[in-house]
Amino acid sequence: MIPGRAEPLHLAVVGHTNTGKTSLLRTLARDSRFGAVSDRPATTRAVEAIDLLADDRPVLRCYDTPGLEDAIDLSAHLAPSASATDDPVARIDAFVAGDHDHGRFEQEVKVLRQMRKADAALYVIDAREPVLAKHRAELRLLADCGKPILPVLNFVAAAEAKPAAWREQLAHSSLHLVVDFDTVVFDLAAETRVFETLATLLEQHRPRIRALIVQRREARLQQQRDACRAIGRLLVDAAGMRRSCPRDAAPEALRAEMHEQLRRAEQTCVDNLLESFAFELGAYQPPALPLSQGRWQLDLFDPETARTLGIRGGSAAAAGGAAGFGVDAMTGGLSLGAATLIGAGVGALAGIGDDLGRDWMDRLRGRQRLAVDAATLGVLATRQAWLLAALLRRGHASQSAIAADTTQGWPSETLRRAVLRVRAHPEWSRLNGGLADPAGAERAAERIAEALDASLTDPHA
Amino acid sequence: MFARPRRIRPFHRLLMEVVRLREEAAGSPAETPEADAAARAGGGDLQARIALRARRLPDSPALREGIRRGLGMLALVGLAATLLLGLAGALAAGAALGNAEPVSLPLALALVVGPNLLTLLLWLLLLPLARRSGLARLLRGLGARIAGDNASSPTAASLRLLLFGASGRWVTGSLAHAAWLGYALAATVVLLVLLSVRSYTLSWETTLLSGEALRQWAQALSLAPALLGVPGAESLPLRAPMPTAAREAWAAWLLVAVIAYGVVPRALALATCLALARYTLRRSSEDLAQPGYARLRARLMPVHGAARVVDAAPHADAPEVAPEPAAVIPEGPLHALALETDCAAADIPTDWIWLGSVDDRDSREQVLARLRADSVRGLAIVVRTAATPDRGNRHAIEALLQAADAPGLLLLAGPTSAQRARDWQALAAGLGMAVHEATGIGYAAAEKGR
Repeated sequence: MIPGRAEPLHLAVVGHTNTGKTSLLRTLARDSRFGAVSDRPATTRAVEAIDLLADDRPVLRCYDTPGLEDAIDLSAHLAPSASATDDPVARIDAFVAGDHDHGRFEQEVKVLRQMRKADAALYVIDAREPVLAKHRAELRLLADCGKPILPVLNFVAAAEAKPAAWREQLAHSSLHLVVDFDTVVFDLAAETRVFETLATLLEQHRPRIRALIVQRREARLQQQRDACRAIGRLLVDAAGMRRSCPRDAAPEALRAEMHEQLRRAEQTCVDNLLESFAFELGAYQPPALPLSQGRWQLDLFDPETARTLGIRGGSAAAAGGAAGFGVDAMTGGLSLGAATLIGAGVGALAGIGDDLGRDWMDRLRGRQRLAVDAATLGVLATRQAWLLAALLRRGHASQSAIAADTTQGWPSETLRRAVLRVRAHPEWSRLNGGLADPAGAERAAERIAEALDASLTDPHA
Repeated sequence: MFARPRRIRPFHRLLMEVVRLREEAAGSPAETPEADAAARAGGGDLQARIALRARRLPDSPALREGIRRGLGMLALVGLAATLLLGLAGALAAGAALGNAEPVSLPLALALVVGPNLLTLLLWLLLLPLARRSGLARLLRGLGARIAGDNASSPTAASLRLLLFGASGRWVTGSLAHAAWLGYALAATVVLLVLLSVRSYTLSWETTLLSGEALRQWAQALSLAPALLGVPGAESLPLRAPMPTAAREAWAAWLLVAVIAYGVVPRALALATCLALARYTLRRSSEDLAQPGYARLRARLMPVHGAARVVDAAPHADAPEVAPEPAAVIPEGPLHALALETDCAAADIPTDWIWLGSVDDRDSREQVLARLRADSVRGLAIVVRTAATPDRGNRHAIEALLQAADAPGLLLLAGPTSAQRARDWQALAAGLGMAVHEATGIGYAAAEKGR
């Protein structure tokens, strides 16, 4: 295919006023700045076109139309000239070409004109509304345009929604393919259903609609992978973080500095995550996040944080409530050896060797070394995985489920092992002042990201 | 269907990486609308666009200049090291042939090739440890100190990337190999010159080893030259006095052995390091999941084109009519009807005259006829407040009021939002109607409507 040669599929988005046509397009375009949206009638007054791209080529050209408001009078206006043998499409065309009652039906004419030009139409329905005569008139009017129509039921999750009544009415109008699509909450599965149903209506366009579906799915996976990678990078940085000071010096100042750096690193990771889900967060009803104003409410080193996340085995200092939680002083081989054995099992054996060696050197030099403890790494990993899961959660059912969500420690054993193994690699951490070894760090981050990705799809791995 | 991925020059990959590191350090990619637009217009995959964006950044010329200078500095260091070691190689070759007669072949070879091979071996041994060894940490600390002082300068940033980035150890390896290649080449040239212009007695000498052991050593050392087609210990005599032909053959053997054991390994190592430096740079710049690149995806790979108006909104509607004063509703029974909602006569005061529900065209015509016929004291219209008032409603109410020719009262029924109530009140104000909230009716009607 030569780019630009293939005409996109023209899709008119029509419906009664204030049913969410522009919201639907915002979701399809993943752009919360498209058009204007308000809970008022007739917010959209002009017809706006926007192309949905797959591989840089427009696949769907969507037209956002003003709402139909006066279908009953318009039908009455059209009816007198009608006879049984009349072609309804010709009548519509004649009306659109005429002066449409001195501009009284200006808004409706824009819709009908676009319907006549389009290959198909999405008829957006506010499922909370009862089916009224004006809706039936609208459906007749649109059907007279002679184009395939795919009704889209918006607001189906609302308590007062009446999808059954609407489906029945639509069936009476010979519209048997109907999809639910809530513009309130972003849900890729629902969007895919819209596209697939559209492909059923427009068989000749199926390959290109298919390409659009595939690309959207791919983009979603990519988004998830990128987010996992950002978390992986945070964990590599934190696990390899080291500071050392003379053995007889009190390490409090160093601890405080490490705490501060870790908090900043975590915030950078949260920012990266929020940025890559910017559209979902800008949606009408963004996913409920465990954050407040883009930040975690509980401090990283608050013992309460570890408790609520189900992370056990903080350092002894933490249990006693002393200031020292989150950072182990690795004096001698003992505390490190014990911590790694408990924390990392077999995977960290290499880590012990490595750090024992360094420790020995440090002991000769009379220095003590500080590192981030396993419990803090657990909190970092679990919190970020929780945030990502919340960002990925879609659809109304999962929206309500989020409040009841409790996290139970590390997302997966594989992830825990992968993270604790990295503790043996201070040279990968960007938080150690010097220049990290980026190639190794990125590989380690990738491994952690893979473990995290797997734990998102199958939490019990 | 997919465009063939465009090739990106290594220089531009360096530029991409410098920009990525800078933007990752800053926390988020810089806002660069022009460069983004250029990258989008350029097309291709995300990587190609990121590369194009890096080239179109406002400070791209400065960055390029910085990278060029960084590369230039590395080249200068490499050149200086090559010259120094070249000099050392020449001296070593001179010393190997020396003035002693006869020249011991194994000693000459060891002097010329030995340091070179030993350092190569050391490098190979340290390679796996390089990232963790104290030396690397020292280098890193040093680099951080150098680069950290003026981290914002493009030259420092590019040096940092070149020496300590993903391909850092291959870049430093290349420099070292280039220098030692200089050593080996200079030694070869000096040997060639000296062997050409002076007459040496060459021999295999030993005090300690037996003749057989010496032969085995000689044969082992002759393996590589033999591969290059030069005869060695298997066909030539080992000890002086040698015939002239044998001396010439041993001289050729020495030259070829120096090439085989000195030049070739270093040249191979240099080529490998250069290839690996390019490869790792390429891999790092292709790793688009790194936050510095991932965050550009939404900007550079848009999923929709620009929105544009294809059918403009009509010019300002009929000028906003000043709200008419609300009608005064007379006491006594009113005519009442429900618009687009079903409520029954039972919902309204018993003495009112109930006209039924108005929904479609027919029911409206009937009610209009009735209103024209009756003498109407006042007309109450029940609407479902949760519905969005539209122009259709407005036209219908207008027609009904006209037919009734009496003050109108809008009864807002059912639960609603403040916004909706305001919309209905605005509509009523435009038509000079009084408004009442009729929650009692509302609930019954709303329940039935479901």
